[in-house]
Amino acid sequence: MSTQQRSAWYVLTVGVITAATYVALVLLVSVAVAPAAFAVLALTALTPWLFQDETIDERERFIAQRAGVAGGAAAYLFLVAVCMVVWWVHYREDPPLVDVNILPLIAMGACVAMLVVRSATVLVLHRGNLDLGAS
Amino acid sequence: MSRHPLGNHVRRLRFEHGEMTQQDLADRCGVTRQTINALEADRYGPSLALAFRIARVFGTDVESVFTWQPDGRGAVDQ
Repeated sequence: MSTQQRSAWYVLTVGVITAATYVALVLLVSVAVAPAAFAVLALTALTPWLFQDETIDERERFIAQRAGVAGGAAAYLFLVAVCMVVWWVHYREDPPLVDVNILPLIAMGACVAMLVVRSATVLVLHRGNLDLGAS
Repeated sequence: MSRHPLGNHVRRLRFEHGEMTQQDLADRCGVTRQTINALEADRYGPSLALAFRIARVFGTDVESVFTWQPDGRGAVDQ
């Protein structure tokens, strides 16, 4: 397993643990406390230190580019979907009011979506068929 | 999974050159072992630069290492 794959597994695990912790806090404690789960995301800051020996060749650079695009698309779709849901829930209110605490929650959710999809894409593309010179 | 039309003799050439390991070839080409493995397994079509580097390691030309197979049969050593 290459360093890029190990790094992707690490970030994917942190992302999944963050999402699971959020759901667990919502179910077991309260919605108000649940955003504390996003503190787990800080573990991704250790990635450059934990995987210092990462040397990326042309194939892995190609994989990283594609994964970055997939991660960005996931974050974009997440933002659009959540904004539509929030609008749908509140638009009938007069005046329509949205809790300000939802905004950082949406941003952190988009971060988790981006990290999880990017890491998963790296792992999938390592198993897949890639063409640089033959397509 | 569709196969690309670029076949190669990398696996055979490695064994003909003192049973060179994938890691040895990867080190000499400046790529990871996984990239050599993907290339031999017909899961990766390399850039022109990498194709030339591999050919140079084996002391031959690119067309002796890589073959163009429009019918998409993929790696020729398998």
